[in-house]
This record gives sequence, structure tokens and C-alpha cells, in this order.
Amino acid sequence: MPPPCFRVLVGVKRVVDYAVKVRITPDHSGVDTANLKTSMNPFCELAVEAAVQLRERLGPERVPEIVAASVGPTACQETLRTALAMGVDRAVLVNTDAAPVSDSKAGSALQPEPLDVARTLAALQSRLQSNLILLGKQAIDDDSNQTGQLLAGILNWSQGTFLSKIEAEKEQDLLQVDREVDEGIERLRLRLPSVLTCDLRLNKPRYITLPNLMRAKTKPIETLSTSDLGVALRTYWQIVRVDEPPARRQVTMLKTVDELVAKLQQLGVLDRA
Amino acid sequence: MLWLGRAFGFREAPKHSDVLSRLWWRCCYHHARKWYPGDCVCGCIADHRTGSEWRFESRERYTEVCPDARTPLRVFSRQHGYCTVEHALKREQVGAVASVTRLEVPLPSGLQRNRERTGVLSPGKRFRREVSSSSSSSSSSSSLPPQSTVASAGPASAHSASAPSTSAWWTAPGPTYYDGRHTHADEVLLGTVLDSDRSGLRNTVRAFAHEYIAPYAAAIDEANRFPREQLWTELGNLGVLGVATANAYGGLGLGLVEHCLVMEELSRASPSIGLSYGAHSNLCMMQIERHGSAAQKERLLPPLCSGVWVGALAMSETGAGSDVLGSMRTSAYQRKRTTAAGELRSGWSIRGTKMWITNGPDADVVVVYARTPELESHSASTSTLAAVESASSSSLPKQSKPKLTAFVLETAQLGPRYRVAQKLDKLGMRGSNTCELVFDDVWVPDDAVLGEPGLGTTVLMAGLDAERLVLSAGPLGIMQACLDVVLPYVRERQQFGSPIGTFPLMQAKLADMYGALAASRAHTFGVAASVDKLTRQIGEPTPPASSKHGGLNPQLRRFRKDCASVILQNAERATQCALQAIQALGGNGYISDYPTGRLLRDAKLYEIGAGTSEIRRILIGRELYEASHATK
Ligand SMILES: Cc1cc2nc3c(=O)[nH]c(=O)nc-3n(C[C@H](O)[C@H](O)[C@H](O)COP(=O)(O)OP(=O)(O)OC[C@H]3O[C@@H](n4cnc5c(N)ncnc54)[C@H](O)[C@@H]3O)c2cc1C
Ligand SMILES: Cc1cc2nc3c(=O)[nH]c(=O)nc-3n(C[C@H](O)[C@H](O)[C@H](O)COP(=O)(O)OP(=O)(O)OC[C@H]3O[C@@H](n4cnc5c(N)ncnc54)[C@H](O)[C@@H]3O)c2cc1C
Repeated sequence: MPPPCFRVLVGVKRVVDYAVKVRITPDHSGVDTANLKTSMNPFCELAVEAAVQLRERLGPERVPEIVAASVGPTACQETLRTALAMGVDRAVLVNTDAAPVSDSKAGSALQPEPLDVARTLAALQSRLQSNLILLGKQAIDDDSNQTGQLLAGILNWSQGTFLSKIEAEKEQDLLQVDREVDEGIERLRLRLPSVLTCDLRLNKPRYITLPNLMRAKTKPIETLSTSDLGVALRTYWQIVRVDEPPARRQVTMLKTVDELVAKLQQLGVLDRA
Repeated sequence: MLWLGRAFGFREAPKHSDVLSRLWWRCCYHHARKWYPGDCVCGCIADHRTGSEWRFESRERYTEVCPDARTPLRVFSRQHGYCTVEHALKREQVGAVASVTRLEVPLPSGLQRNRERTGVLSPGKRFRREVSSSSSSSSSSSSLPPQSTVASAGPASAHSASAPSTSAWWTAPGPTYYDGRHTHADEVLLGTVLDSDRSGLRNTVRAFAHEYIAPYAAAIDEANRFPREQLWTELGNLGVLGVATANAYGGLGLGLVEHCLVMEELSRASPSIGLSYGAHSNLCMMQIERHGSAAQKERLLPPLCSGVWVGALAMSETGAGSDVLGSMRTSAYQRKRTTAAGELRSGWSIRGTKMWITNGPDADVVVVYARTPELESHSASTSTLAAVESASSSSLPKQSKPKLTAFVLETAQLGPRYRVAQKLDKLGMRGSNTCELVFDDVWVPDDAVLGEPGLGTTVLMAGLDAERLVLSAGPLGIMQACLDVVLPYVRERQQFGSPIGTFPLMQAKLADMYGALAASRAHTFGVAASVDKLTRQIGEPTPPASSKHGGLNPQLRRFRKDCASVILQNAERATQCALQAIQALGGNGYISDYPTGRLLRDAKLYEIGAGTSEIRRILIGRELYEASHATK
């Protein structure tokens, strides 16, 4: 029997670039995203890198296809190009331009919520027959940290979240993964099909090189609509108010270590000796 | 995120360091338990008397890096079995000697974890290479955001010849002043040359330069070292070294516009790297591509594209700068020689020295021009236009117009008669190595001739236009870098109760700087796009070197004045822009913690290298005069 193949689907999200200092809209309904530089969610970059590394380790026979998918507006093509330049074979854009999620209060199109993204990816999975889905553990814009878990639930697949290590076992459809949990590192063995979400220490995404960027232009991006996949986008939550983080607190200068210890104890940070 | 250090400082030098770090670890842990996975814990104990500082960081989260955390931080994670703490001590003021103590602190019992991992976090940065050796950090108490950081281990160790580890000077990344995403004055390009392919290319180069070059710009300058091991093959891998080289030789086969986009982005991150890049990819590689034989190209271009080799071009001499054609003394004579295999080969013996050669100390391939007096007696010169370049060539007796021959040499094969003389200590562009090259009767075979013997002048002249155009993107990057520093500064810096950027006199400065950048960018890319377009139409950029038109197609020949104008204007504007940037930063502009002084020193080079401003003016004026007609 030939060793099992990994047919990989990677979800990539387009977000406001991590380096951009965002501003809250005057009515506190959200963040002003007009004309802001966008890029691929850094956690999704880790997922793309993980997929590409998986192929580099196992070879193209065991990883015959890596597809990147993004759910969002046409502009997500740029994000998908980045994934293609990193080494993904082809891309699917599930275009939400025709079916924007609208929020009457903000009056602007919101991005699809994690549950609908998970449903969309699940529908896409059944088209592509993928058996391994890699996602970022969360997106840096809404920090929801839900899509992977919801997707695994919908598909009823095994899931590994907050991963710092992914290893495929030889000749078997098993993955050994390390999860970063509060208590330390949890090592799991997962049977395919699986949903994995990637954490910071999993890898260091490669930088894109110009030859790969040019090669990426020749790789296909297929466009589908949510209705092609039978998914209707809805709003499940309402943003009540968005505020800036509170300003930094005042500095207190202490003279000695003892004072510091006393202060910390007083604040309950440190147990009294 | 919790930023403890600013809340509790103490005035006593930390004596019980492991007690302290344990304490800090515990208080971080205590807080971290309440948090969402991925949240970040930072701690800092600053001893303001000695300037020593302790910083702690765990679960890095790049979106929330504390604005104070300008210096690289040792990261420890809550999962560690012990935490690794780096205690960086900075002696105030001069020297900036760094001593780093590494402590390994056991965690309180019951909290032992199964593995340890460290990484380094710095602001605006997500993923940083592991840093293992010493780093020094400083933290000023100023409220200004661009904080001073000593990027390398200090001048004393940086200059010492016996630098212990190969890359001690390189390991500590400094601050960057831009976010790696934006430029100012893009507006002038959006409707013209900046299509989606090109902006993709530019973003790619920008992201690389921002991450791998900009943090080291200050260290490169301070150490005056060319980071060959750290960068050159990486740049090859990125694809920029061969951006304009044909695909067949490992390049990307793109045009001058792309070459300029790359040059600008690299120069924005570090003008020195930009200059070395220009000398390598343009001065050296384009001359080989343009005039080399198929064999020369196949042999030389692939390793130059991949960055395994470094290229240089040697034209100037101590006695022959502006008047490079008229006063060149380096000469080559035809000599036969018996090779090791016993066969008699004809070749050339080169004698002379070349001065101010960019990349000279590191060069594996050098394009060299030399006089070939043996060819001079045979025929009168055919190259009339060559004289245009050299304003003072008229001082030479007309009948003895020198005949040059271009050579392309692999330095590894030249033997001991080829020497790299002193590496020059420069005002700016430090780290872009410059030196004198000595040819003491260096014998090279016939196949080292680039183009045809005796037609070196046309080879030389044909390269100069593209050289000027590509190099003129260097000052563009510098102007951009000036705005990168100044715009956030004038926003943050308050005097008289308001940000200085609100004062009209300051806004006038911003307007001048912006206008200069925008005009230069439009001019540079306008000319580059025109030359590219014409080159594509003609399909043959270089006619045989024996052509009458200085080695150029006559249609391209008319861009000579434009290429010279672009670099003339850009270079002078960049110097002025850097002066303005210094002025806008006031006292901070004048000290070396900020990059403005370095930018000024670097900018000035472009008024001298590749022809001085004076020579450019003479050239442009003469071209215009000669092309004009008297009105009747
Ligand atoms: C950092 C650096 C890197 C360099 N890299 C290279 C390299 O890679 N390869 C290379 O071949 N060369 C290189 N050069 C050399 C550079 O091209 C020369 O320095 C330049 O051409 C000026 O020549 P010069 O220094 O001899 O100045 P000079 O010719 O001595 O000029 C001195 C002054 O006299 C002025 N002057 C000269 N003639 C006239 C005239 N007829 N009318 C009016 N004014 C005049 C000049 O404008 C200048 O102001 C480099 C130089 C530097 C500083
Ligand atoms: C080498 C050196 C030696 C020094 N020695 C001494 C010394 O011995 N003793 C001492 O006391 N100080 C000294 N100084 C400090 C010096 O006096 C200050 O740097 C200088 O007054 C400028 O102040 P600043 O640096 O805070 O610049 P800022 O005041 O921040 O100015 C920044 C920019 O804003 C502009 N600006 C500020 N306000 C306005 C406004 N209202 N309208 C328009 N533009 C405005 C300034 O012109 C400048 O271009 C020294 C500085 C240096 C660099």
C-alpha cells in the first residue's frame, strides 16, 4: 500500500498590516481601515510555511497538492499571490464582494465571521478533497481564535491548535504535533484528516524571492462565490464599541530592592515570605 | 500586555540577580495566568544610576510591543524549565561597552516545564533571527520614540582586527525608522511606472531590506565592514543581484525601472549596501552582459547573480578621476606567456593602480580599463564623442588620444602580482568597501578582454549612462530615509507645548523635503521607463562596440544628458534633504544615535562618485549646446 498522501488546504486571511498604527473611527464603531496597507495575517504565513516545509520534508509524492484559500473581497488575490510565491501550488478565492456582510450600525461591510469562514472552508474541503487543513491560530485583526476549532467541529476531524511543531509519521496517516498550552507543551498524535492551527514558534516564514514572485504570476487563482459553495454569510455578533487601549501608567521610582519587593507584595503579585 | 519596568524602577544596582529574576519571573507568571494565550508579558528592571537594565519578555506579541522596547529583548516563555535572562549593561556615554550576563534561573518548584525556547523580539518585528552573542542596549528617559540604541558592540571591539566571533558586530539589530511598508511620494509613480507587478517586486525587496538590512545599517557604518557573509548570497537568493541580467545567466531579465526600484529600497535601508549593490549589479555585471562574449557571460554572470561572487569596476586612478580618459596611466601590453601546460598563449600584461574602487577588497570579478599604447600608434581614434565625457581631454595633444581596452578579470586567477592595497577610511558609505587595486604586471590571457582590444573607450562610455541612472536611485532611497526619520519625529517631539511639526517653519521643511523626493522620483523613473521602452523597441541595446556613437544606439544616445541630469539633481537634493533632516531633529539630529548624520555623510558621495556634479553639469550643458541651433 502506498504511504498516505497529504492533500493540503491552507487558509489565508487578509488583514491590516501588523506594522500599521490603526485609528479608531470617531463614532467608536470600529477601526478605520480605509487605504490602510494590508498583508497576509502573520499566523497564516506560518501555516503556509508549514505546508511548504511539509512538502520539502516528505516530497511531492506524499504532498501532491497545496491549495491556499481566502474568504473575502477581490483584494484578497494579493494575499493569495503571496501564498503562491511562498510555494503553494494554486489558490482559491471565495469572493464575498457579491454577498457582503452588512452591519446596519457601522454601515459598512464587515468581514465574514469565523463560523461562516469555517463553513466556507468546510464546503471547499469537500470540493478539493483535502485531508489536512492548516490555519493560523488566530487573525491579528479580530483575534478570534475560533475558525480552526469550528472547522474541525463541523468536519468532525481531529484538531491540533497552537502548534509549535508538526511531524508526519512515516508510512502512516498520523501526525505528531506539539501544542503550546499554558501548562507547557502538549504532544498529541492525530489521525488524518486533521485541522491544524499554527503558533508563532512553529517556524520562521521564508521571505519571498523575486524569482518565486514572478513564478507565482503563472499559478492559477480560481474564484468562487459563497453561493457557489452554498454558504450564506450572516452576522452573529454586534460590535458595541471599540476603544483605544488605555494610555501607559505613571512611572514610580523606587529606591531599593526591598521597596520593590514590598510593593509587589502589597499589590498581591508576590506571596508574602 | 504588562509593562512592569516602567512602573517600578529602583536606584540600587541589582546585587542578588538570581533572586531578582526569580522574583520577576514569578510576578510575570502571576499576571500571565490571567491572560489570553498569546498575550505578552514584559518586564524591565532599570537601574538608572548605572544605566543597567533588565528586560523580560514572554509570549511575544508583535502588535503590542511596548514603545519603550526599542532594544532587542531576550524572550523567555512561560513554558521554560528555567528562564534565560540576559542582563545587558550599558556604560553611559562613550564607548558603549556591552557586557552581557546570562543567568539561568530555575523556576519555582512545581512549575518545571519540559522544554526551553528563546527568541529575540524587537519592535515592529515579528520574527528575528536568534541572537546569541553580546548585545548592548540603552534606554534613554526621553519621551521621544526613536530611542537611541547602540547597535554594535561598540567602536573598540568593532574596529579591532582580531574580532573574535565572525559576526559579533552584526548580531545586534538596531532600530528601524520605517515600517517596511510605505514610502512617501508614491503618488508620482502610481499612474505611470508602478503597476501591480512592479509594486509587488518593490514590496518584496522592501520587506527583505527592512528586515535584514535596515536594522544593521548603523552597525555596518560604525564597523565600516561589508557584510558579505551575512547578506550577499541572501541578496542573490532574493533575486536582486541579477535583476537586469538575462534569464539564461540566472537573472530576472528586467529593465532599468526595476533595477532602480531595487536600488532605491536597498539604499533606503542602508545607503552603503545600496552603493555596493550598484557597483556589483550595474557597474560590473551590466558591462559584462553588454560587452562580454558568450563564454565570459556563462562563466562570470551566474556566480555574480547568486551572490557567491562580488563584482567591481575599476576605472578611476589617483591621477585620473574626472579626466579618466585623458589621464589614465594603467596600461596593458601584449605579452605571450608559456602556461603551466607548456603551451604558449598570447595575452596582456597590466600595470598600474586603480583608486577608490567600490567592492574592491572583496571583488572576485573586476572590470578594468587600461590604456593599450601599442594600439595607439596604428590608427587615429574613431571615437569622437568620448571626448564629451572628459571635460579636460582637450588638454591632451590631439594626435595622441589614448586607446583603452576593457578587461574582465577573475581575481582568484591573477596571482600575487594583483594586490588589494589599503582599504580606504571614508566619511560616508562606510561598509561599502572601497580600496586601491594594484596591478604589478599582471598577466591575463586574451579571453580576459571585454569587447575588442582598443575599443575600451566605447565600452566605458556605453556603461556610464545606465550607471548614472541606476545609481541615482541611491539618493532617492536616502531622501526617503530622511522622511522616514523626520515625519514621526516632528509628530512626537514637543516644544512650546505642541509637536514641532505643527510649526509652519517646520512644515516648510517637510514640504521642501517631500517636493525634492517627489520630483526626483518622477524624474528618475520617467527617464528609466523611457529608456526601457526604447530599448525594447530597438531590441538591441548595444550595437557593436565599434559604432560611431560612443557604443550606444543613437536613439539611446540622446538620454545621456538625461541620465546625467537625474543623478545631478538627485544627488544634490539628497544632500540638502539630509541637512534638513538633521535640522528638523535639532540636537538629536547632530548626534550619532540618530541616523540623520549618517544619511548626510552617505548622501554626499553621490555628488562625487560616478562623475562629480561639476562634470555632470559640463556634460549636460555641452550636450544641450551642441544639439541646439541658432535662431535666425
Ligand atoms: C566612495 C567612492 C566610491 C567610488 N567607487 C568607484 C568605483 O567603483 N570605480 C571607479 O572607477 N571609481 C570609483 N570612484 C571614483 C570616482 O569616480 C571619482 O572620485 C570621481 O570621478 C571624481 O574624481 P576625483 O576624485 O579624481 O576628483 P577630481 O577629478 O580630482 O576632481 C576634484 C574637483 O575638481 C572638479 N573638476 C575636475 N575637473 C573639472 C573641470 N574640467 N571643470 C570643473 N571642475 C572640475 C571636480 O568636479 C571636483 O570638484 C569612487 C569614489 C568614491 C569617493
Ligand atoms: C553638540 C552639541 C552641543 C551642545 N551643547 C550644549 C551646552 O553646552 N549647553 C546646553 O545647554 N545645550 C547644549 N546643546 C543643546 C542645544 O542648545 C539644543 O540642541 C538646541 O537648542 C536645539 O534644541 P533641541 O535639540 O531640543 O531641538 P528642538 O527644540 O527639538 O528643535 C527641533 C527642530 O524644531 C525647530 N523648532 C522648535 N521650535 C520651533 C518653533 N516654535 N517654530 C519653528 N521651528 C521650531 C527647531 O528649529 C529645530 O529645527 C548642545 C547641542 C549639541 C548638538
